[in-house]
This record gives sequence, C-alpha cells and structure tokens, in this order.
Amino acid sequence: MSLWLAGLALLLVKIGLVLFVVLTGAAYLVLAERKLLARFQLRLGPNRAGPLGIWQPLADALKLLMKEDTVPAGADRPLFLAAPAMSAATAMLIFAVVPFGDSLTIAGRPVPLVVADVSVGLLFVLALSSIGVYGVVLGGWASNSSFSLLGAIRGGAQMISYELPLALSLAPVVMLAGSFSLVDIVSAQAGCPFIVKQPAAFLIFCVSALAESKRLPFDLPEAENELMAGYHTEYSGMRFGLYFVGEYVNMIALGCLVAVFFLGGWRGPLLPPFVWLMLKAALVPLVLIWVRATLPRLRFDQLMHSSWKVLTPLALANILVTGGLMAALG
Amino acid sequence: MVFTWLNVGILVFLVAGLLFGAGPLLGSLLFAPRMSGGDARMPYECGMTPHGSSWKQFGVNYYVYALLFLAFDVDVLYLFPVAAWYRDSQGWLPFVKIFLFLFILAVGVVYFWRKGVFSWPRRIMQ
Amino acid sequence: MSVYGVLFYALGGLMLAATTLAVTSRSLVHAVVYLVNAFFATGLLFYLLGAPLLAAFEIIIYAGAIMVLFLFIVMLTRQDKPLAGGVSLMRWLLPGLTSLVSLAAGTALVFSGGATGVPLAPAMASPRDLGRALFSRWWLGVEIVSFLLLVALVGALYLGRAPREGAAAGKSPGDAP
Repeated sequence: MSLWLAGLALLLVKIGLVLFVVLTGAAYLVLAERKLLARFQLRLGPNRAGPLGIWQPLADALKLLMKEDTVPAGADRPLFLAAPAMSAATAMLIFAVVPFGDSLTIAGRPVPLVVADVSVGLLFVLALSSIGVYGVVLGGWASNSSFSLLGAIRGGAQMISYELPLALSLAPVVMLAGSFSLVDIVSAQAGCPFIVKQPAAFLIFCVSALAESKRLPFDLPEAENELMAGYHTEYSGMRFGLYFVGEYVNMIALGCLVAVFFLGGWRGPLLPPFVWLMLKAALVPLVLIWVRATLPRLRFDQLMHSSWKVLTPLALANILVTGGLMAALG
Repeated sequence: MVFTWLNVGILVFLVAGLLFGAGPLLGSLLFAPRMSGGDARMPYECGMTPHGSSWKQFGVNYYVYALLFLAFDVDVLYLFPVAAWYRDSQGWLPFVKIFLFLFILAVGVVYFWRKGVFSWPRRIMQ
Repeated sequence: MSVYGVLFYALGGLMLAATTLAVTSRSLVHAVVYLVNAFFATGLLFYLLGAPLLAAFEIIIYAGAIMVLFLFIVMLTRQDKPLAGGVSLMRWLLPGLTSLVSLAAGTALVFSGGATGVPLAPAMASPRDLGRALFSRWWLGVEIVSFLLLVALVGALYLGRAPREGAAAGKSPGDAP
C-alpha cells in the first residue's frame, strides 16, 4: 500500500513538473515571439513590464483573466464553451509520452523520466493530433459567425490533409527503431540521430507539423486579413487565452517531438539530458517564429497541392527507399 | 495483470489535461466582469448586423478531403505494425509485399490527382 | 471492487450514456460530439484490457477520421429544423426491434453458462507481433483491403461528382469559397 502511495505521489510530482515546465515555456515563448518579431521589424517589442519585459506573460494572463468572456447571440452555447479547453488539453496531453531523460535511480528503484512509457506512444501522438481537429472545427462552428465557420472548415481540411504526410513520414522512423515507444525511439538513436539517416522524413515531418500548428505560412484558418481571426473570431477573455496557450504549447510539443524522433531526444554530451532536450526542442519554435516573420501566406490551392501532390507521394517514396535499403543491407 | 499500475500514469495525465483546460475557465468565471449589453453579443461581421444564421449549406467539396483522409488513414494504420516488425524481417519478400501495398495507395493518389480533386476550384471530371 | 473494476464500469457507463445521448440528441453536431466521446471511451477501454494498439487505432480512425468526415458532412449540408413533434412511432419500430433482438441475444449469450463466466487469460499483443501476423500470414487479405478502399474511394468520388457541364449552368454551390 505504501508503495502504491509512493508511486502515486511520484506520478503526481512528475505531472506537476511537466505542467509547470510546459506552461512556463509557453508563456515565455509568447514573449520570445513578440520580442523576436519586433526585432525582425525594427521595433523594440514589449519592454514595460519589468526589465526587458520579463513580467509581460504574467501581465497578459492577468489581463485575459479580467476580460469579459462573451458568448455570441445564437451560438451553440455548450460547444462554444467547451471547444477552447479541448484545443488546449489535446496539445498538453502530448507531453504524457515525451521522455525527458534516462531513468533515474531513487532509493534503489528505477524511475523513468517520462509520465507514461506507452508501448504505442507514437500512435498516441497521432491520435491526439487527430482529436485536436475538434477544438478548431467545433469552436468555429459553434460561434455561428460566417468568418468563424470559414476558418473552422479550412482548419479542419488543412489539419486532416497534413496528418497523412505527418503519419507517413514517421513510418521510416518506426522501421528503423522497431518500436512505437518514444523511449525506444530515443534509445535507438544512441549511435546517430535519425536526421542523418532520414533527412527526407525530417523535412516532411517539419513541414507537416508546421501546417498542423496552423501558423504562417499555413495560417489560413486564422488569416487575419480576410477572416479576422478565423475560428476564434468570437472568442474573448480566457477562452481566447486557452486557444492561444494551446497554440504555443503545441509549438513546444512539436519541438519535443522533432527532438525525440529525429535529433536523438535527450542525448548529448556534457550537459544534463533535460537541458539537451529543452535546447533541441527550442529549435523548432524559434524557426517557426523566423518563418512567420519571413514568408507570406499560402493560397488554399497551394496548401492542398503541397500536401497531396508533394508531401504525400514523397513520404510514400521515402518509405519504399528506406525499406529497400534496409532489405539490401540486411 | 496486463494493465499494470504504471499505465495509470496516462489516465491521470488525461485528467490533468482536462484540469489544464478547465482551470483557467474557472478563474475567468471568478474574476471576469459580466456586463453584456448593447450589441456586445452580436456575431462579428465588420460592424454590420449579420444577415441570418451562418449555419447554411456551402462549400461541400471540402468533404472529399475528409473522405480521402479516412481511406488513407486506414491504409496507413495497416502499415504501422508492419513498420515496427520490418527490422526483424528477412529477405526481400516483405519488401515486395509492402511495395504492392504502397503501390495501391499511390494509385489512389494519382487517380485523384488526374481527376482534378486537388485543383481549385474543384471540378471533378467525369 | 479493484481500481480496475471501477475504471471498467465507469468507462462502460460513459459509453452507454454517450451513445444514448447521441441517439436522442436533436442537434446533429451534438450527436457527433457524443459519438466522439463514446469512441474515446471505447479506446480507453481497449487500453484497459491490454490492447493499446487497438486503443490507438480506435481513437485515430473512429474518433479522429470517421467522425471528422461526419462532422464535415453535417456542417456543410443544410441544417433542417429538428422535427417538432418528435419522430413517428413507425420510424422507431425497426431500430427498436433490432436493438431488442440483439439485447436478447446478448443476454442469452451471457447467461448460457459455459465459458462466459470464466475471465479470459490476459494476453498482450505487441505491435510487432501483429505486424508479423498481418504481413506474413494474412498479407493477401491486407492487399485486398487496400484495394477495396481504393475502389470505395473511386465510387464515392463518382457519386459526389459535380454535375455535367451544361446540365447545371452557372456555378454549383460547391464552388463558393
């Protein structure tokens, strides 16, 4: 019984730590994005709240909390209220399977630094990304506003179109690692990270992940200039905040996934594993911010072209080439 | 027991995820002001009064993407267990089987491509 | 009752409640959302029973792909006003009969004695084993399934094709955005 309690306490501590790290990361990612975008556009960015604006995320959160949370007339109330939470929760749940380091030994027992080492971890991630569509589609539909509906339908079509190359690009990773577990995938990269063996899969995964995150140049579901804010036009206050947090948590999750699948996860010399994972995971959000400052938005037909005519055939070919090479080399 | 208690981790994290979604909303419920009045609750339409509900028929062609996705998704999920096993397989026979499988998939993509499903505005040729 | 049992019955109850609400809900979108919940609970139940792969597939295909397709169709087609006086008795007849028969059959099966009272020995199928079984023993079936899906897609595309040029002059509603 005491073992049970100790295990449960350990689990709760782990979950608490993960939630804390991810939330803090997301909050400061928002600040980093605002600062960097400002620098790209020769502005200063937020610098009033504390030195260099380091209290800005706190101020933003407080402001959102104190804003009125309106529900448009004629909206589908229950769905409208629940959709943002769905969006934020699915983004957060990805961290359940991300390994943050090798297992520690506490009091003679191995303690894996992962909330749950599920044998189908990779499929769990794919399942969450397919559930994530609902937060966007239902939120936009429930608003009963034309802009939101257009954004919701675009978002749904975009997310499901890019889920396919996303899944297909991970098949060679599974072939090389021989397992779906993220812990096993990281240990399979002890020799050399998969980005060396699978550069094509890496590129396909990154582009599809960028499209899944609905950020520029793939931000057609939001498209400020034509759809106001797309699926979250009608949201205000903390509900808007949840969509916002979900987006940034999702960016960090994508960074972690890229690190785990292609960059060797927490492996690295000198520095502790957790620091390595965070360093690698920070790469993707930074590139995403840079891309946002650089590229214009795609047109909807270009969006669909790049998924169905380029990425999906490329991913299929990549699986075949990998399979052929593996069979040839034994 | 197949379901070891370590697996509880994922269930507890599901609950944690739900709380993560619900927590801020609770805070908003406590702190946010409520003074809806006037046109605050009117759906946004560039300042004009919206003309009727937005729930009406339009752009049905998006559903083709959902349909395509469904079929390919099922295919992909057949592929995944094989991918996990592929490393332990011997010889070229598994490769040929996977090639055949992927070839059928690719034929699907090419067929839709030729039929103009991915062109915009979509007009499927007879 | 063990933790296991509590979780099992909680998920079972959730599934029953969600599907009941899906059947009785007047809004089609709400029905879809209830069904997504039911599929999610089913996935968790599979996980609980030691079939994590099946759980993932249940959520990816049923809760993810199929329900998104349903949602798209419900959202994109015209929303008729829900029937005012409820559904007529005749329309309940066939579904009611079918569910009664299956309920009776299920009850008979459970209480027919024999092996149903004995809990099955737990077994864990690793994804790798499933892959081996699929592509060495059942590979022809898998290829046929793949082909069948292709044929189904072609058929769906044929049914959903745009009207012939000239038959419907001007733009079809499908061209709008």
